[in-house]
Amino acid sequence: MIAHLWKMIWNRKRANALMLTELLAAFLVLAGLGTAGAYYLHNLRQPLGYSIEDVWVLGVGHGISPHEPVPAELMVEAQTLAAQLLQTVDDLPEVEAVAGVMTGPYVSGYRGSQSSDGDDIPVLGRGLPYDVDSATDDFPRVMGLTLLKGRWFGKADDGASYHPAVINQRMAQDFFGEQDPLGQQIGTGAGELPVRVVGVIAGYRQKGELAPPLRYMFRRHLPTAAEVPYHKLFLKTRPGTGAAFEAVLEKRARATGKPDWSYSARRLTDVRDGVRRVELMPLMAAGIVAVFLMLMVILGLTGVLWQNVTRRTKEIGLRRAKGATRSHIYGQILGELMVMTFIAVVLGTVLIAHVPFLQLLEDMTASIYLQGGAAAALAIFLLTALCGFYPARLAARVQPASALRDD
Amino acid sequence: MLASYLKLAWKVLGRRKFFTFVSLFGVGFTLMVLVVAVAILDLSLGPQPPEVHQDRMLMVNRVRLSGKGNSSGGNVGPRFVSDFLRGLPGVEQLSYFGNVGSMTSRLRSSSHVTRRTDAAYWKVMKFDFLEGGPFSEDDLRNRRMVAVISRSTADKYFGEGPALGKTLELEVQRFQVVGVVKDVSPLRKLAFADVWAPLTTGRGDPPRPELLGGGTAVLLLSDPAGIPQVKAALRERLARFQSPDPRRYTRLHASLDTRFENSAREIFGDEADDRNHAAKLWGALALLAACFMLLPTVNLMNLNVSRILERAPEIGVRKSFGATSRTLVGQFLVENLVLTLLGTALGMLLALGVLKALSESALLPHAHLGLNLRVALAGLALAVLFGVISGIYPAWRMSRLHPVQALKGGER
Repeated sequence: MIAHLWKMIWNRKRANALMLTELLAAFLVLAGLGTAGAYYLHNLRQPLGYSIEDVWVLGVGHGISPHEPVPAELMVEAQTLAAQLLQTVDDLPEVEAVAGVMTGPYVSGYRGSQSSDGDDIPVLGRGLPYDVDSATDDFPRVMGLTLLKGRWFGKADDGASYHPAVINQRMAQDFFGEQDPLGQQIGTGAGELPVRVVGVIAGYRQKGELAPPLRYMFRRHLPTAAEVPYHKLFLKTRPGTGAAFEAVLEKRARATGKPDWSYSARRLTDVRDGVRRVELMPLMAAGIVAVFLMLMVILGLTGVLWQNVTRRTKEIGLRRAKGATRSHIYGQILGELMVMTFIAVVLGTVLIAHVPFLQLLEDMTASIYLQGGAAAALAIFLLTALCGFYPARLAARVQPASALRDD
Repeated sequence: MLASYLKLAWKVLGRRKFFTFVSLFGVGFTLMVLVVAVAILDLSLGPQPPEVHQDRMLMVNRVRLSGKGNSSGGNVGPRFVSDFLRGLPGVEQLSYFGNVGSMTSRLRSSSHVTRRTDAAYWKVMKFDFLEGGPFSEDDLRNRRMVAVISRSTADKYFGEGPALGKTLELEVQRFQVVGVVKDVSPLRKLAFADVWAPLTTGRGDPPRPELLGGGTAVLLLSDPAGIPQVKAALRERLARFQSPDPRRYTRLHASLDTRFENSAREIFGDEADDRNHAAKLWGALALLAACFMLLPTVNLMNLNVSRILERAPEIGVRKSFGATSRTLVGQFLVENLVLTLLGTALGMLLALGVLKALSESALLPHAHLGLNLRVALAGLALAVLFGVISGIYPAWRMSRLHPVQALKGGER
């Protein structure tokens, strides 16, 4: 049956080639859409690694940048004030835990990498880039981080001969594989002291729910003159703390720090919503465009198939005269279309598999492409069936007599 | 000849209403998307006010220090400007300004995007002043608390009416308004802000003289032809960089770019490579447009082929009476161009509506998106390209029909 349909298609190959191209292009568009959808779904299902319920972020604008050397006495003063501010906020009755952080989730931060640029330390993780943040000891309590191995840094690290660091699971995997990450060294920090892994946390997808799990490292933030004071305070409040807390927080902060420091308090969920709106905008635009493209394809294919049926009236009429039933005709028109769609899907799959940028996107796994491709294939079969339905109905209504009449 | 082609084209369009509708819908929608994309691109990168001098403007916003195993990148600091940018050949104006930051007003509990700039900024950018004017070198030297604000900020803070001379209180600072300008879209990275204040009014200590800092430098050349020399001169200066801390850093990287090159660098490279990425960005944009146009083009081709086969007898007659293939191809291309141009007109109308909706929505604040001449011409060029490509294959098929077969009703 299929072999016969294939013969029918081959006999009209010139007319069908263009239709095949259109189906192929439509499949590619759907595959792109399906892959993007599968990618975001896959990300959504991954553990986030932290919880932002009842978490507030207080931005502290102290105007000290990590790239500019600052007189030591100014730095000491700033660090003292920052430590006082942390204590003040911690003492608020609404606050359960507070931590000073350089970057925190949902915003861009500092990106580090180990290069082999004349260094004698062996390069770990093939020089892969990773994101670095630094936080004070209470950060896991604020964000509800899950420790998988080892511990978070704390008082135990005071005066140690290394800089303690906590990395996320993805980084532990990429850098150390099967080896135990605890006690491993990742470069050197201030004072030429080694940076040593003391713990591994789950997930920590810093860019939020839609982002893939990237390599991430936390360093211990210390109020020393060598370090820039934290840029943000993350605080976990008691459940049910209302919006009025924002004003309380800013007021208390203002009363503590220097007059020229600036403060802005926001609920982390609000920050997330703002970021997500910006993230979703291009996706929505692409989605709307894709829907219209598909509408175009549906209308176009229907038109072409309709035209084909009217041109093949004689052939169909002859089949009817020789005893083919209406459902035979339906089967032929839709069957030919399905075979062509199948060819387009195969061609499209081969084409996609050879696209060089597949390997470029590090976080895209084969299963995401497969899921996206499968969804696209299903969608294109449904779409062509929809397009073929009306023309096939027209074909089934052809009267045998019209095949015999010569006009 | 052309007149009869056009007449014929019109008649053909009326014959198969469904096909005409589908074709027009396809062409119109495709062109609408392309025109909207071009308009947004033009709004963010095109020579629109305030960045009107883009042809002779160069910018640097990222600097990188690198050494043995160390590398630290950041925005431009004041010392980079004084040591490396000042006195480059052929430079008419040099402006250094800070990145935008947000300042809140306790009085109105509103937040305003603030940018601190020097006085040359107002010569490099051409803002539309509705009231007053820019602040001057003198204001900077004396650290006067003055500010230029945007129209919408004035309305939000002071209500309707003139704002000149009034006092704007942001956090602990009080600025006297010396100028009000037309709103600028946030897509214009160098110009956008709600409040512009002198660089020297920053809170706390004056900015420390460092290579890396929180600013951007823009150079306005007297002649666009001088761009290569200026770029080369900066490279030469950077090559002679003497590191103050050779144990950590030995090299300094930065590049002078046009606005477009700068965007390309942000996507494809970083401040540490000397290559020019503009061609890559153009290529990527062209590829993106081609990918997008592929499906509509094939769709239109397909419809066109069907349409032609329907007209096989007519073609047969014309061929029998001596019409050459070239005539037929020409005729069909004209017909297809008429169709695409009609679709384009429709697309432009749709695009106008979408752009208006986008301008009014909160998605792109202060975005005065519209069809200027550049955008309209780009759209027209794309439409002609679209028409020719989608018409050429069906026309070729049409011209190849054998007259005898055509008279009988076309090929199989």
